[in-house]
Amino acid sequence: MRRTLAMMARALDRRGIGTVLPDLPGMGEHPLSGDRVRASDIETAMAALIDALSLDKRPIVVAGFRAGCLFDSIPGAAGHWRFAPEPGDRLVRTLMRTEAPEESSPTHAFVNGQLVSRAFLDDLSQRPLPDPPQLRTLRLTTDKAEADRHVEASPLWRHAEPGEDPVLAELLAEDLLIWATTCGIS
Amino acid sequence: MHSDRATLSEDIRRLLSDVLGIAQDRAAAFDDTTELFGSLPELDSMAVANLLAELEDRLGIIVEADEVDGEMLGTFGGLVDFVHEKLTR
Repeated sequence: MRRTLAMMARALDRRGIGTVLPDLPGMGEHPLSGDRVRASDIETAMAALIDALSLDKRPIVVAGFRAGCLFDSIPGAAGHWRFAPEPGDRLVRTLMRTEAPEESSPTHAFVNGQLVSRAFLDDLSQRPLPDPPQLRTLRLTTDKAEADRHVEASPLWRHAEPGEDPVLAELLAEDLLIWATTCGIS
Repeated sequence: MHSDRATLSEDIRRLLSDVLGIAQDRAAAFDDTTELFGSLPELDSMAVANLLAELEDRLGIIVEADEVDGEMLGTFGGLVDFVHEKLTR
């Protein structure tokens, strides 16, 4: 999915919209490893990122994907936009189905190939999706939950092998651009 | 809308294609006797977790841990029967 998000970011760049695709705590190159991450670390990182981006006074639309939407409500953002948001209880339910008990401990679960704190998983499982203002939500057509728009595509996040979908990336970029314009970004 | 088993079978073929990344024409050839878990190399433990999550998302059902067994995932027909029973119970 991240490769498709990078394609989406490039598509937005071609339309004159700058983007930041951060490695939040526990992700990618972030120095805090997954076994030490807590929800508060992600909230702190998001706040610091928004503070830094706000220095030049340009308006910001926060785009959330899947369970990242659990942390996407940013006060002062010009708008919020989501694709296929996933509630915390569903994320944790899926992760726990992959638990390897022999690699787990009372404090950490070995899920999806990595150690994750049980305290973090408990926090995630009880975390509802926020309801920020100026919110637009897109989902796949196979997801019957309420949305402003349903789009036809395969759920890349379910695939075992990393994949990319350039058509979806263009579609999402165009939709986000229109929403950003609606929110006053030009 | 999924009380029709044939329609449900089509939906589950598409779901398997989406989750496992297998070609749609290959999934279209699945019948009730097609063996899944243990025979389909794409269907490892992580893929099972994703398959169950996608079933829940698309069909509005909840699959409990003690419901996942060899009968449910052993064959395509077993999987369809399991979901059909969930939806018509």
